[in-house]
Amino acid sequence: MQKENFKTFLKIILVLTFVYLFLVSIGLMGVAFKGFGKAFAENLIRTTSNPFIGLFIGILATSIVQSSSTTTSIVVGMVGYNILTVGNAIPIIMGANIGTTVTSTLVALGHVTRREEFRRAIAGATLHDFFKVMCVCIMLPLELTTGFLEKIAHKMAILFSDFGGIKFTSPVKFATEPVINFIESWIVKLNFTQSQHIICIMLLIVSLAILFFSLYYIVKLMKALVIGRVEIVLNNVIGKHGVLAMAAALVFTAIIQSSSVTTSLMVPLVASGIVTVESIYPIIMGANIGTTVTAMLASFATGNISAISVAFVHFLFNVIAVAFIYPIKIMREIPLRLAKGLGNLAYKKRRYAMLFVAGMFFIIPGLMIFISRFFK
Amino acid sequence: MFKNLLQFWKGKDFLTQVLEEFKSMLEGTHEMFETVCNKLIYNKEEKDLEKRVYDIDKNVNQLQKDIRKRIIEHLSLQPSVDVSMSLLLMSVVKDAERLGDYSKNLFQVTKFLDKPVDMDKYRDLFNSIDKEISKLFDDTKKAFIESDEGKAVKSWEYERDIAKRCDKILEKLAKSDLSVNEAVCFALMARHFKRIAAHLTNIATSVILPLADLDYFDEKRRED
Repeated sequence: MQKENFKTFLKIILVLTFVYLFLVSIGLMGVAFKGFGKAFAENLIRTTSNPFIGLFIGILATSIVQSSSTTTSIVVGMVGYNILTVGNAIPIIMGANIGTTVTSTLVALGHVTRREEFRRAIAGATLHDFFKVMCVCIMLPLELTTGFLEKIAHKMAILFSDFGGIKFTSPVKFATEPVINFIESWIVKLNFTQSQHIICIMLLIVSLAILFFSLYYIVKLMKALVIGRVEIVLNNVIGKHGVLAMAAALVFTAIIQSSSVTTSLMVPLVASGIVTVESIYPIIMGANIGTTVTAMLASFATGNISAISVAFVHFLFNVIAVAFIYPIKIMREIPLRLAKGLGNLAYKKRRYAMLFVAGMFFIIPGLMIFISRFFK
Repeated sequence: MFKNLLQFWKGKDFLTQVLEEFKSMLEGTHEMFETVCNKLIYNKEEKDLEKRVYDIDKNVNQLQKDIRKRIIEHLSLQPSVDVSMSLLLMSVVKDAERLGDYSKNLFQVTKFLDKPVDMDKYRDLFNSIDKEISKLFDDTKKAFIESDEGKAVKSWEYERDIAKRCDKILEKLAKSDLSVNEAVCFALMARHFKRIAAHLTNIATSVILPLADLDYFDEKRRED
């Protein structure tokens, strides 16, 4: 028992260390971005000024790294260090919300050998995909015409600042600065060419490496710490209490900082027929909100109002989806029917599921980004 | 409200929950077996016996489904934790469910009988085999729930004796001049007793047998 307690204590210490490293990585990224200069920022802003390209960049980048937390944290960092504008970041954040659904869909492909199981798995996994696509289809045009997300998020960020939020984030900056300075000076010493550009590239590579590494271990360690309790709670709420299931998924995802883990865990349960596609719907909703915690954390590392606004955009996008789309039966059923339809299609011809994954997450976004180069 | 939320948070961990449910399965089937034997052998009347027997069987079947669901849920969430125990439980719940089915089959024998069992003939053939099986139920429960290896080995030996005696009963019945009704009913009883003992031993020996050898304790016995 004592050994177990010690192990738990050690895991908590490690999690705190990785959270610290995560915050360091965001700060380090800022140093790299600043070093790239104004021209780089202008170029990036120009590239992402087409919201659809921003959206596809978000989908493709997140599908490749299979973590919306990573993409949104990088975007928040970019906004925080004036590399991106809030307006340009919003479509990327929406794209990241679609891209993150790839993980559970890939998990569903693992059930390909058993037809009936495959039908259920595809329906369960793509429910998340279709829900997110529907949210983007509704909210992106609305945002482009009214800018409602940006406005509300900005007001929230100001409110957060007025309540002393920025003061709260400044110790984060203070605590991470010595390590950031140490890594920076170390890289400067390592760089024999003394080229500012190479130093910045090296800083960016190191910051991204620390970001991936820290997020990977935060998710892994937190999952190991809480999965036992999560199993008990989920066993008590899945298919029995929608609101509690949503709350449980929200808390679990906020703790482990990965909606992919939560939604992927549901796929085998749906595939084996233990829970229905309908009963995992609230869990997906809860996970969508819970995952926004990481971007919030990243925005604290920048201590910048715009970065905090982007983090709030990410949060608002998912909260609005849950509050205004999910409660309306007719709206709620659209992704459900599409997911079940794709499940039935995959049951008849399994290649359709593969085509869906390749097309939706990689081929279409990749092609769109490629084609956009010719229409500048 | 807070109390309700706390209930969802508290709950039981995987192993505690499934072991409790499995224990309930064994207790339910034991109750079924004893109730049916009281009517079949000792002709003790009980009100709504059929309903009671079928209700317990339904409950046992539901517990089997619940345990299987819980195992899949657990393995989906924590694939590397308690794998052997999960696979073992997946196997032994089937044995426990069969105990319910055979007890139900014994109950059906009460309907085939033209007249109550003649106790002298029963004792002559079966001795106190029903009491021994009832004890085997207790030993199996203890062996499995408490991982009592001594009890597991004992049930293993017990089953061998019961199986031999049941085969002998069939031999005797084949050569007897009992009425067709009596002979068929006794034969069915012997058959069902033997199967019940075998399934109980499958459960008990799961404590000592390697996972791959589950259900093949008789082969293992021959090897030893």
